[in-house]
Amino acid sequence: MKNARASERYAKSLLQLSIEKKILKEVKLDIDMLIKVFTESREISNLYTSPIIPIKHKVKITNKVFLNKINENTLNLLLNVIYRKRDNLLQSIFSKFNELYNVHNNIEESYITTTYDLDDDILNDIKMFAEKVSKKKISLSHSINNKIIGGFNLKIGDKMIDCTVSSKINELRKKLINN
Amino acid sequence: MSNIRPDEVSSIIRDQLSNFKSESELEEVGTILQVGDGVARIYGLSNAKAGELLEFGGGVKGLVLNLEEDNVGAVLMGDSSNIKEGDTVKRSGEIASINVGDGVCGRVLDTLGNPIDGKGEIKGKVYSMPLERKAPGVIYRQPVNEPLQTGIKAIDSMIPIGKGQRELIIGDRQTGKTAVAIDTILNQKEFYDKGEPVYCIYVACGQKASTVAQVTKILEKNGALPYTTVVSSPSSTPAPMQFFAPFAGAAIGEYFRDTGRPALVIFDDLSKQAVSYREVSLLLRRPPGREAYPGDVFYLHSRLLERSAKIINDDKLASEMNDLPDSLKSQVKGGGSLTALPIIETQEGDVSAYIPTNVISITDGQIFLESNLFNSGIRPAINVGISVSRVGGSAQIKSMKKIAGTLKLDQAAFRELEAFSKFGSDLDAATQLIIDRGQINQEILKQPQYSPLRVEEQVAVIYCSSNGFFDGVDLSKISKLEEEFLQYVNSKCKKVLDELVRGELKDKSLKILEDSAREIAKNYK
Repeated sequence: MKNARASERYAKSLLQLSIEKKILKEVKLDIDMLIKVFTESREISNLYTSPIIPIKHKVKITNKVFLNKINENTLNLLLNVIYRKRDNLLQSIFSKFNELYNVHNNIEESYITTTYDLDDDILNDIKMFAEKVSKKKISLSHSINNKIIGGFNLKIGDKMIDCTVSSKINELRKKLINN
Repeated sequence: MSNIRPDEVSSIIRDQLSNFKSESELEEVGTILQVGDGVARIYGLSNAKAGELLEFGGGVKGLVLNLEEDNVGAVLMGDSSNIKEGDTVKRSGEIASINVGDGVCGRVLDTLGNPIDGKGEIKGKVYSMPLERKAPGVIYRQPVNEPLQTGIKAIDSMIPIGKGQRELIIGDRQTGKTAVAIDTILNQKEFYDKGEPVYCIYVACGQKASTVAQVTKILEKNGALPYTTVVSSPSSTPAPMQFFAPFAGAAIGEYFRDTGRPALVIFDDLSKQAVSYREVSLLLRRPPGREAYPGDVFYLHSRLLERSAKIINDDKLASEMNDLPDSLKSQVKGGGSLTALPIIETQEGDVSAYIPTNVISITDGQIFLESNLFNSGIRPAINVGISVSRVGGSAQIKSMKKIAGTLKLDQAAFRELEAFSKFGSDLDAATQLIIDRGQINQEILKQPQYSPLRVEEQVAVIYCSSNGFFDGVDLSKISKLEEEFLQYVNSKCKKVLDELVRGELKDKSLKILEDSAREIAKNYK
């Protein structure tokens, strides 16, 4: 929590720099890739959160892993963060960057949860609906969760439409208890 | 249990199921970032308002207190053990309010207005009253001009309280602060029986649950419960519930005030409320100030006490009052009042601590209770010298005003000379008289618990003692004498008492009082 402000500053400067240099798309791809790497590889995330590993080792490894694979500016951010001993914030910097990127491009993230797979037509319809509600561009992601039993749960930014069977059952349960 | 038939039960359930309607609407939600110590930080909820109610999973309610750059700080009004990080929180769109109606009388409620006395739902029509509400503006008020009778001789004569006033009761622990407040509630029975009740609200904030039960029992035993509401937030409840309890009490009082009726609210006690507010503020990481209280602890008390007011006696003007809840608008009448008796507990008599000085400066006067007076047998242990009432004097009935006018000064002179006389030197006759009469007055002002006196009785007794009709009576027999005198007056001089209530002081009636007092006093010399 208390580091949220610091991560926001790093993310903001990376965003502004990439806008200036007109490399925003590349950097966005880098960040998405980095988020994937961090979640998939425990070693990488452990490396950056560990305070025991000396800075020069971290720099060496970073260069070896990411050089020429990501944009020079993104790499510079990584190195800069390591030198400033803020590398434990990297993951929150990435997510903050995505947030700021969405604000910059007027995009709202949206999640739909169902119990089964949805085809593209339905997803498109949902996207259109969400765009109408939030009056922003929507990046929709879909997940499957059997815990909701049935129905769907659509989240658009701060707003939510909860039509899941599980929540209806909960509501009914509360009502029966209260009477 | 034997009479339950399964088909009945299933028909009830079928009924409820068929009536179950659920519509899914667009809800605004946030995610819990951090939860602990009864405080949650929530990401999202970008449209949440300060003071808004939130719904956590499992039916727990929360209240938005902090709106920060990237999160919302909220306090939980219930058990936080089932709330986890990552849970969703819903906005309710409404600010914290409680349901109040005439049915709250005789009930024990918690801070959110839920009955906790096991007598079922609140009966009758209820109106939603917001916990936080702006005090009535200047044009909707009128000066305090009616007395609120406490039934305690020392208070009604020397520190009179008017309807709409805020009078602080302050003192160390075990000095009878609550007793003064309870006696005041009990004294309103007279008016309830007459059909013009003063509705009382006793707010127990941070008290022991056993004390609350005891108080409720006393009220019930003395027939005071039908016009009294107890708002209880004992020390076992979460801190936010405790510091909102007085606001709930004020909201109930406002219901009576705005419907044109007099109400009396007792906040017992505000020092504990300040402590629970400090707890919440520190957990929300608000910067601490003096004694670690947050900077707005003064505002906490001032906005609460400012809500007690005497509303102008004009229905049309009153119906335009600021911040009236919509549900109540059709019911508004003028002429109502809300009197507040906040209680503050001091530590070792230190009234210059932060909270006591704050509340002293907010209120329209204070009643000081002292432990050394209490221990020397002067009960109620009111220190008359430093107790004041800044507005109540204009509210006293005429007869009381005239008779008690010099009492306060006489007693002050007596105390000064009493200290002097302890050196044992010979005193001149005039000084001796002041001391003797002062001692008798002091005895007369003593009063046992739960035995409030009607104002006309007070006038009669004080008239006789301060004019020296009881002079020469043995001090230990004064209470007996008073009892007999009151019995006599009540049975033989009804007319005189009726005159006194109306505020009239006729020479003839006073002569009757004097003669009977002298006659009865003879037996006690």
